[in-house]
Amino acid sequence: MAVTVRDFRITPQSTVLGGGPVVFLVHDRGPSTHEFIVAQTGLPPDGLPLRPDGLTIDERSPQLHVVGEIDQIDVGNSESLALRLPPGRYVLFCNLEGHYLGGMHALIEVRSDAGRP
Amino acid sequence: MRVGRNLARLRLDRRFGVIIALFLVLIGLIVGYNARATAKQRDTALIINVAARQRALAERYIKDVLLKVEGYRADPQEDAAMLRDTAQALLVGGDVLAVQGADADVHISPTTGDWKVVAKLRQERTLIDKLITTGNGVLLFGHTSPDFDHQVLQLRVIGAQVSSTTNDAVGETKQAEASLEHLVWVGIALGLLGALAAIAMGLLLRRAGAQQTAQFRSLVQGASDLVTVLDDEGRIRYQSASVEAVLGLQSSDVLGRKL
Repeated sequence: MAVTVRDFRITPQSTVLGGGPVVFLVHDRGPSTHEFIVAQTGLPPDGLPLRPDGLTIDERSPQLHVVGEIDQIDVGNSESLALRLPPGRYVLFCNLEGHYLGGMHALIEVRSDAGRP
Repeated sequence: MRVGRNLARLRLDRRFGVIIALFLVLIGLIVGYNARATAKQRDTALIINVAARQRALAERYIKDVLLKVEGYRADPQEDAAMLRDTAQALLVGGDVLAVQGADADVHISPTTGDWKVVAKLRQERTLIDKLITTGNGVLLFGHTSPDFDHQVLQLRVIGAQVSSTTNDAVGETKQAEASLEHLVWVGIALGLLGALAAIAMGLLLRRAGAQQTAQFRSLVQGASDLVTVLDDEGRIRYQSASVEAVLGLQSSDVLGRKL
């Protein structure tokens, strides 16, 4: 699934996926370097728990389960992340300082019946 | 015969000329490359230093806005002016003033290199404008704004984005500098070529010396004139065959003796 990240937005090609293996192909349109993190959570995408700094997400919080991440995608580059996602709600976000609160988050839903007739 | 000798000398002189010219070009290139690498390193160090100061200034601006809103003495406008001027200087070059005497005024050269560095510095400038606009809103309405808490959070978020983007630009600058490491190898290659040119010049000089000696010997040995070569102390170092033939003095008897 193609995902575009830029200052300060994450735009997935689709918000509903079928369960099983998925490859995220993440392209950074810049101008900054970004991270790409996938976390399973029941929380709303703009309500993830923050660290004490109040600016970045607490990735160790029991309220979310990080299932995969790309540490760094430089402007103009594309990186891929292959995951096997069971059905559920996932939030895609960038956790560089000020990026998540600046709007870099998106919700995707993985359904066992998605894409089937 | 003479024409042939002259031609040989001309060829030798030309070879000398070519090698000396090559040597001078190589020396010029080595000096030029070193100067360029040194200037680049200086610019990178300055940008890293100024960018670090920019992060501290953004934090101080936010703190001063909040202090001013609470009625304390603070001058966020001064911070804002410095932030804007520095962001502009990082992008297009210019003078950066010292922050309250904590460091020295510096001059930054325009960023003309990596497009990624330029893109990130442009973004930093945009974010600083956004930070100052948000700060002005907080200063203007203060606690009377129903949106005060949200505005303060926005201020902190944009401040963090400035910090993150500045770090990013510094990282990109370091990476761009690392890509200039090939200049070191170019310098080494040029140095080796210079050494080879020096060796070639030495060999040519030696050959020219041997040629001159051979020419001298053939000229003197074949002549009927009596020729004796003395050193500074008057000792006989050489005598022509004609001396032996005319005077009967054997070279083995007279060489090394004072005249």
